[in-house]
Amino acid sequence: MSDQNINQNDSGQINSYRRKFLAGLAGITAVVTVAPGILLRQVQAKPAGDAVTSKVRWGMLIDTNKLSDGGDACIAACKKEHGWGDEKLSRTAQDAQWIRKVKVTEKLTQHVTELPVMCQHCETAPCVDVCPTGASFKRDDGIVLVDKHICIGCRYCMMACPYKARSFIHETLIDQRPDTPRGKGTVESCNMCVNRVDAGKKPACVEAAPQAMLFGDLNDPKSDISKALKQFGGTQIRADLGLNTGVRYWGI
Amino acid sequence: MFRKFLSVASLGVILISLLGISGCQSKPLEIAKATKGFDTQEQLDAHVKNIRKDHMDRLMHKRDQTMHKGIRTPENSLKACINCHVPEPTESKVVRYTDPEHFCATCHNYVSVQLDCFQCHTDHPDKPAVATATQTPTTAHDMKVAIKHSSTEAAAQ
Repeated sequence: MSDQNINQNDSGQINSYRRKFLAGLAGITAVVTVAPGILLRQVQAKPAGDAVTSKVRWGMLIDTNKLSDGGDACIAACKKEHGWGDEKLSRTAQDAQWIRKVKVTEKLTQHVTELPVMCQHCETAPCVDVCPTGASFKRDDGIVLVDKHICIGCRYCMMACPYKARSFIHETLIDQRPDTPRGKGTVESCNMCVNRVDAGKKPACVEAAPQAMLFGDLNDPKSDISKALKQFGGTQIRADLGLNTGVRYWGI
Repeated sequence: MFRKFLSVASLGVILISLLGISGCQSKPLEIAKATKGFDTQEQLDAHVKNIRKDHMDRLMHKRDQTMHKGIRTPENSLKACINCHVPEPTESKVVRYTDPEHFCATCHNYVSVQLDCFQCHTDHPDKPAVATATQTPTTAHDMKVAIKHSSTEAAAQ
C-alpha cells in the first residue's frame, strides 16, 4: 500500500515536471508562430540568467510629426508603468521628470514643434562622468541607469545632464510599482523600461505610440530602427555636445 | 559547611532564573504562511534552510548583478519573495513592512535589524484592483480621443 502511494507521488511529480516542460515548449512555439522573423530579431528576450552585452545597443527613434498629441500618450504610459507623477508633497519644481513635453516655437514662422524629452541614453553620458559613487552608470547595452542602492542623492548628475532629464525624490513614497523601486533621497530618470526590455518587451512609451516611435538595437544593421536611421538619418538634441545619444528624433 | 550550602543554593537560584528567562521566549515566532507551495517536501526544506541562512547575501550581492548586468534569475528576486510571502492587499487591509505581521518584519523586529529594502521597493504584491482603478487609456487611439475631448471642452469654455 505504502509502495503504491510512493509510486503515485512519484508519477504526480513527474507529471508536474512534464507539464512545465510542455508548457515551456508551447511558449516557444507560440513566439515563433506569432512573431515570425521581425519581432524575434528586434527585441529578443535574453535568458534571465545571462548578463547584458555590449553587442546590443538599445535606441529609440521618435517621429514628432506623427505624435499628434505631442507625446501625452507616452507620458501617461510612462507614469502608469513606473508609478511617478503622484508626489503629493512636492512643489511643481520638484516634480518627477521621467519624460516631459517640450514645446518649441520658431520665431519667424511661428511653427510649433512638440516633442517628448527624456533621458537620451548617451554613449558618453555626463551624468556617469560626474557621479561620485558610481550610482549613475551605463549598462553594457547602452541603457543609462541610477543604482539607487548606492546613490547618495548629491544631485551632481542633475546638474551635469544637458537634457534636464533627471529629478530628485523629495518625499517618502509608498506603493511603488513592483518593477520600479523609487525612494526618497535618490535621483531618478527614464530607465528605458529596463525591466520590460530584459523581458523582451518594448518600452511603455513605444507601445503607447507605435505609429511614431521605434525601439530596437542600434548595433544590428538589420533592425527596423537601424534601417530607418540609415535611410533617413535622425536628429540628436544638442548634437554639438557629441554625446552620441541613443534617442533620435525626426521632424525637429 | 554552611558556606558550601550557600554557594550551591545560590548557583541553583541562578540556574533556575536563567532557565526561566530563556523559557519565556522559547516559542518560535509565528510567521505569515507563503501563498504558493513547492512540489515536494525536499524542495521546501532546501528552500527554508537556504533562505534562513543566506537571504541577506542573496538579496545584497545578487542585487548588483541584477542592477548592473541585467541578470534576473527568479530565485534571487525580491519581487518573487514578496509576491509569495506577503498577502495581496484587500479593500480593508494592506500589510506593510511597518506592521508586525509582515513576513519580513516579524523576525527583523524580533532581532532589531532595520529593514531598508522597502524605502524604495514595494512591500506588498501588486494589487490588480488598484491597477485597474487608476488605469489610463492604453492605446494611442484612446488617448487621442481623450485628449481631443478635453481640448474641445477647454475651447468651449
